[in-house]
Amino acid sequence: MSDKVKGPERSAISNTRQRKWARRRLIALGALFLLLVLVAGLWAYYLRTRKPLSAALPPAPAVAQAFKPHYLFSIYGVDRPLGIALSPDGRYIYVTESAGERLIKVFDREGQFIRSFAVPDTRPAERAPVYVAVDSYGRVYVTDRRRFALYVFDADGNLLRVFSPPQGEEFWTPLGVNVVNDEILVTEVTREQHRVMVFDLEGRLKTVFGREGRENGEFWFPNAVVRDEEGNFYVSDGNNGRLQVLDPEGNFLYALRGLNLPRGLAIDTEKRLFLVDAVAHQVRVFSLASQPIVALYEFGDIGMGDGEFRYPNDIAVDLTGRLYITDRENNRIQVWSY
Amino acid sequence: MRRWACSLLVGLLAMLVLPRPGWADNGPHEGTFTKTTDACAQCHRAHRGQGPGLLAGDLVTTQQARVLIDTSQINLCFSCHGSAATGADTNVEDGIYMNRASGGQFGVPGAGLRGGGFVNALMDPDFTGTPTAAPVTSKHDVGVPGMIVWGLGSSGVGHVTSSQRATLQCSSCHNPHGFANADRYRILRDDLPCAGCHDIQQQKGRLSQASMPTDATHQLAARLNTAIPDERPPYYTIRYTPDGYRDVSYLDERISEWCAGCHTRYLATGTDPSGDAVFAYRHRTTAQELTCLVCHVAHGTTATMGRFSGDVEWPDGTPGGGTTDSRLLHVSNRGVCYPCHPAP
Ligand code: HEC
Ligand code: HEC
Ligand code: HEC
Ligand code: HEC
Ligand code: HEC
Ligand code: HEC
Ligand code: HEC
Repeated sequence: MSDKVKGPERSAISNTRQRKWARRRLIALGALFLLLVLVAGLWAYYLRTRKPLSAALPPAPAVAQAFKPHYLFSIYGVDRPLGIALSPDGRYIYVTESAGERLIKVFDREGQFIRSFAVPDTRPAERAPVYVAVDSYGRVYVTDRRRFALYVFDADGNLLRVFSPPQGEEFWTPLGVNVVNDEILVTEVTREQHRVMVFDLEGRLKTVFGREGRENGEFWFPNAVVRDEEGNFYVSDGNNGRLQVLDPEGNFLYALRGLNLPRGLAIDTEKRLFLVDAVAHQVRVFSLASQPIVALYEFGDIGMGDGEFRYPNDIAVDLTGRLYITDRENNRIQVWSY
Repeated sequence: MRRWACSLLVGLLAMLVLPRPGWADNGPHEGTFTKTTDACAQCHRAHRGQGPGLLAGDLVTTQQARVLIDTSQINLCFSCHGSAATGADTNVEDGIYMNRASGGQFGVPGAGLRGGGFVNALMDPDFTGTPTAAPVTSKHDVGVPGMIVWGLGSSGVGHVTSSQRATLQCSSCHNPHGFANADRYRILRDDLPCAGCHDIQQQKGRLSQASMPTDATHQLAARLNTAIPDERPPYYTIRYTPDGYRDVSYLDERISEWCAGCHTRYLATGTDPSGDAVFAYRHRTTAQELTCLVCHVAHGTTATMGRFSGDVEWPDGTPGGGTTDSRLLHVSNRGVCYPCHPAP
């Protein structure tokens, strides 16, 4: 009953309401639009000013680290290269291949092919050289994942010796190798015991730590390990997507997480740590000037052009500020410089 | 209009605030990876907010915007499963299990993988007693566009339509994300692309049993949606029964139906002729001891063919390719037949 009476009144009210509403909506829309323009403007401003800002910084020593390296040129003639290392004087580049003939190839600084070699008496399908390192005497260390071995060659590629598994162990699975301060730093990935091993140049085991897992101080396919001047260890913990930092005794300090697939590592004389992220298609650069270390910047992106990577894997740095990076799926070595 | 503006605004704000959207759901290769969001990064790039597609919530757009994977997915998988096995022990490029510690569920120390390999394989196709590593003579050609999916489609459709061509990826057969609530043998897809008749990109991973039509082809598809049980055996090398034929007791006979998810007309009960012009008479493939994997490997083989075996033409009439035309057979010539049908 009362509904009938109130009917028209109500519609009148709702009419004015509607008008009010429409006005309000207009205002709200306008405000929203303004906000939108503002945000978009800010964003555009941010995007535009971001780069010039950093480039305009004065080259004070502390800030020098903010400068990114630039692309120089590429060395071709390698088949899906993985590992890379330099001779002590920086004149020769050693690279391992993971496809084709699977050789260790040597180039000079200008990219001229010098020679190639492999483990004697093996066919390509029977070998898998992965990482390579050179000591201060010019001896070349190569891990072979397929042959479960760490080989030592002279600078010309003649086989000198084969590292045997640690005492009391039947076999091992060396994966990564780096030589830092006359120490051979090896990552080992036998099932359940993914770990870091430190040898002296005679092959005596000095330190060993870690096992397979995801907890702090555990590793899952660690691909590389390097040490800084204080003796701290930096381990690229591949499948765990993190960089672990451990003290000189191998005790866990902290980890940088959220990396994609960290692989090769190198430290230069400017206290910069370089980490190759295979799946981010980038090299990430950190400053070791303070602890915990600080991320500086990253360079590279996916692609086939100059300075672009497809699954980069390892890096080597020389004393002149040159960087050599294996660009696996582009079948080349990229040379960058500061 | 307002809603549109609002969502755009929210989108823009999110672009500024969020470095990356949070992901939940199951981790990759479930069973070997834990369910942490961290795990996605191994295959998906940490993106830097390029593009509104990131926020759309549409999986396909999202995939295009954020999946780092370039045109050939094999590169991603080989970053771990490649010849140097830098992130896994199963080296599918060389077809070998790259660990010497025993007891793993994925392989026998230093032995060949069950699937063979994509570049080399460690096999003994000539029964010499010693498996040797050699380049493969045939393989499922991952990443090559326009390959004919032999036998796809129902009786009578022949091999002519472009819809029967497809590009295989590792993820055509495997689900790199694993399964949330089930343990599937080798994380094999339970929702095959069925590429020929359906667009391989569109249907993948998005079919449910409920929406399946009821003709013969699709009844098969429905059955495929039930899981192949995971029976990881203690031994991994390709074993032979006392009679000498390949032991596939580790697999359910449904693996035949699984392969037939693409090679439809190879699934045969032996009640032929089938009425199909090309596949008129077919060897039975529907018994536990006669699954596809009794005669074939899944990835690639080193077997070689003799004069007659190498001459067998392809279903579309293309002449056989000679000694290296091994069609994924795991034994040279027609050695796969001999154990069950010895010389009279
Ligand atoms: C082992 C590598 C790998 C890992 C780890 C991985 N993905 Fe993927 N992802 C892929 C591949 C390959 C594709 C393309 C899938 C296809 O073609 O079916 C993909 C596709 C996708 C897509 C697109 C939609 C689809 O299903 O096709 C989304 C979304 C996605 N992944 C999310 C995730 C999330 C979230 C995680 C972590 C929980 C994750 N991925 C971990 C390899 C991986
Ligand atoms: C045509 C379908 C198909 C394709 C394509 C395929 N796989 Fe497989 N894969 C299988 C099957 C089936 C098995 C189980 C084989 C067996 O048990 O005999 C398997 C097994 C595996 C295994 C376990 C080791 C083994 O050999 O048993 C790994 C690892 C693997 N596949 C990785 C890959 C990768 C990486 C790719 C891409 C390069 C790929 N697969 C492409 C079907 C496929
Ligand atoms: C011989 C060609 C052919 C093959 C092979 C095939 N389909 Fe189909 N599919 C069709 C056709 C034609 C339709 C259209 C609807 C119908 O026939 O009822 C369809 C429809 C569907 C639909 C319903 C889609 C919709 O929009 O309603 C689903 C789901 C489906 N197919 C799944 C599959 C799966 C899974 C496989 C692989 C096991 C497969 N199909 C293989 C031809 C095929
Ligand atoms: C970050 C490294 C990594 C990447 C990238 C990766 N895998 Fe794996 N995958 C593993 C590990 C580790 C295992 C455990 C077995 C082993 O050690 O080989 C595994 C196991 C597998 C298995 C056997 C699973 C089972 O339950 O039987 C298959 C199949 C497989 N991967 C396929 C793929 C495919 C396809 C891709 C590419 C889309 C891929 N993987 C990329 C590390 C990886
Ligand atoms: C009894 C052994 C045997 C079984 C079981 C078997 N195949 Fe074959 N397959 C062969 C032989 C032998 C060839 C070589 C061509 C020929 O002789 O017809 C072949 C060839 C093929 C080809 C290549 C195209 C062609 O016809 O030459 C495909 C595809 C194929 N098989 C798929 C399958 C599928 C799918 C299954 C399971 C449903 C299966 N095969 C089961 C022995 C077998
Ligand atoms: C996702 C679809 C798909 C699945 C599942 C699949 N195949 Fe194939 N298969 C193909 C395609 C596409 C080709 C043709 C391209 C090629 O040769 O790589 C092919 C080719 C073949 C060939 C001929 C290979 C040659 O070139 O000599 C054989 C044999 C074969 N498949 C057997 C199998 C067996 C056995 C299984 C189950 C373990 C299987 N396929 C599962 C898609 C598939
Ligand atoms: C695992 C044992 C096994 C293998 C291997 C095998 N067969 Fe058979 N074959 C059988 C059985 C069982 C039958 C009876 C089939 C049936 O029940 O329809 C049979 C039947 C046959 C027949 C008679 C077909 C008919 O319809 O009557 C021929 C011809 C034949 N096989 C040829 C071959 C050839 C050629 C190969 C190698 C490509 C082969 N077989 C491999 C077990 C095998």
